[in-house]
Amino acid sequence: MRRLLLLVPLVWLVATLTFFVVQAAPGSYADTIDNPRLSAETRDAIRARYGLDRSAGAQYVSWLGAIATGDLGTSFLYKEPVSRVLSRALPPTLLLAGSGLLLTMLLGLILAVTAVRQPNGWADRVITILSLGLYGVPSFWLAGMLILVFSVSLGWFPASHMHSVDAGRLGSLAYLADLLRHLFLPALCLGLVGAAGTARYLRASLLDVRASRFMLAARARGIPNRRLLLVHALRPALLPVVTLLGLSLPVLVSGSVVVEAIFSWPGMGQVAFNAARARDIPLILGATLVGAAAVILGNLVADLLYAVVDPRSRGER
Amino acid sequence: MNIPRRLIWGLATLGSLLLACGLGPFLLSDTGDGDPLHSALLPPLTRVTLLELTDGRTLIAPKVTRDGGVFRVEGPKGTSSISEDEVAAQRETRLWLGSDRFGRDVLRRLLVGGRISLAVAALGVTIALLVGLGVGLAAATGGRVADAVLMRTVDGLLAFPLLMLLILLSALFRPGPALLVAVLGLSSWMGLARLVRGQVLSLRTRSFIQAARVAGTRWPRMWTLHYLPNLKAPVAQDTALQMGNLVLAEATLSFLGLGIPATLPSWGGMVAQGQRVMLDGWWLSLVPGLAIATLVISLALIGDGLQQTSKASA
Repeated sequence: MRRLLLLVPLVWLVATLTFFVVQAAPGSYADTIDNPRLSAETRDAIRARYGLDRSAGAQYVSWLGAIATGDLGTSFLYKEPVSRVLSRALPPTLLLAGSGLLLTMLLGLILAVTAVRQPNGWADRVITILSLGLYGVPSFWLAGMLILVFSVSLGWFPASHMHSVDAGRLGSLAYLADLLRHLFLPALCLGLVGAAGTARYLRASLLDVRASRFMLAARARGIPNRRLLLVHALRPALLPVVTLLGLSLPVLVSGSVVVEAIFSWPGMGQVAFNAARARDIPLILGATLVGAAAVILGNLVADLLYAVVDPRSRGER
Repeated sequence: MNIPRRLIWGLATLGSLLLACGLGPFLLSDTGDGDPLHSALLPPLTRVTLLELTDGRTLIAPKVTRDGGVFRVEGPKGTSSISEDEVAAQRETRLWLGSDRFGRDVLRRLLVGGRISLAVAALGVTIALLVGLGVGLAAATGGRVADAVLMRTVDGLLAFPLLMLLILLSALFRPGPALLVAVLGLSSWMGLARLVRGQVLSLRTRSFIQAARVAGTRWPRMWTLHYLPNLKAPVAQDTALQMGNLVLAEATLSFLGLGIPATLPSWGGMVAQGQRVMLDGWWLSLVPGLAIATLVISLALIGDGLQQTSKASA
């Protein structure tokens, strides 16, 4: 609880820092509007309309005052309340990043456990090379290749967006199937890239645990190999992965900008990207606040999971 | 000492990449800027004729025939005729990795772009290394308050997803290559700072350091002889991995149009351009993507190898 309270000033600090960084950047929203017929007077009028002609300090104070009453302001770009823009973008991102994370953990776990069944055996070698390869591959490139193979050549999955154009007329089951088909490629892309790192981590920590004395003792008690690996070794080996999981929550909420951009997924990453490009200060700050909140939650979740996985850490708090 | 295979493979791959990008452009025949009419979207291994014109330009085209005093230059998108007087020299060459939609030689752009990618990542990681070392040492030796302030700052900065931070900063400031290096370096030193601090604190409790302290060793000797040699391995390992991350980060930014300006070749930018014409030229996005992967993997292998050596010697 004390830690939770301590994080309130941290969020404020992050938001304040972001505010002044955005202020320090050259240009403002009025300069990013791409219309050559816009006269200098009109741009000045736009600046005044959004209160951008005031000093940075005055803008900051009025923004902070609004925040205190729970008002995130109105987005310059979308001409809508920031809270509405964010609450529309958050569910798609949670869906995509959540499935991506699930795939990451599942694939990573399967790969790592298969690999350490026989260290330096052929399966281990193949998996090591595979995960090293996936680790090095940039996600935007992998996304392109997945589209090329699964959408263009095979035509199995759609390459972009969350729904088909006629999704509104589909029945609820068909609607869900349509959504899942759209979800598959972006989630796979996130999952494959993430699984490479997880598998590398988990394999190393499984091997470390295998060498420990309690494993030798367990083996001596005649516990079968399978149970030894899946029950005795996996639990302590999951510790670093749990930390990884907690750290990935901010990404879960802020969205993978790259994957969302390539697959035209209407999530937080896209919103944040557009906001930054348009100097949409209220929206940038709103997205930052959500991101900072996610960081806090991520740390908390990691702590809680730590307690589940590692009984030793329970007593300390 | 037994050198791990991973380290050897990693160093060999990285060395070959450095050599290829450094020397390659000098060894290849200069294919000039190409042009969409005569050399657009030629697949890898295409044989082309290279014409050096008297006005200094070079023309490449898959088929060049001589008809009296006139060269007929046939390309995939059209044919043109050039009078014999304008041609200074004629040579045969190969486009090993094909050409892009503007008719430019992909291998050449790949090698020149590799120089930029390597330089940006190397300089960025140098900045990260210097700042990380400085902050880590300051936190470990500067007393309680400095330690608390510095480490909470590191925690706060680490909480930001790196790529998100980079995208925000580059979208706001539109950095040129120099500023990009600074942005990359200044957003990736935190892990190193934490590592250095932890290492120094744990070294301090080791008996050889305490023995040296009891013996009255002065601090310059203490650092050069006792601390720094023991920091070398973990720091080198982390730096290698961090450099891989920066290569990926730079490529991602360039892919999004926020990194290296489009007028310069860069691997990320080449993937982006290639994906726009993916159906007409599969090699255009495949090749630079594989180049990025090779570089990142070689750095990961070096990092792994260094970890194995430090584990073995510990």
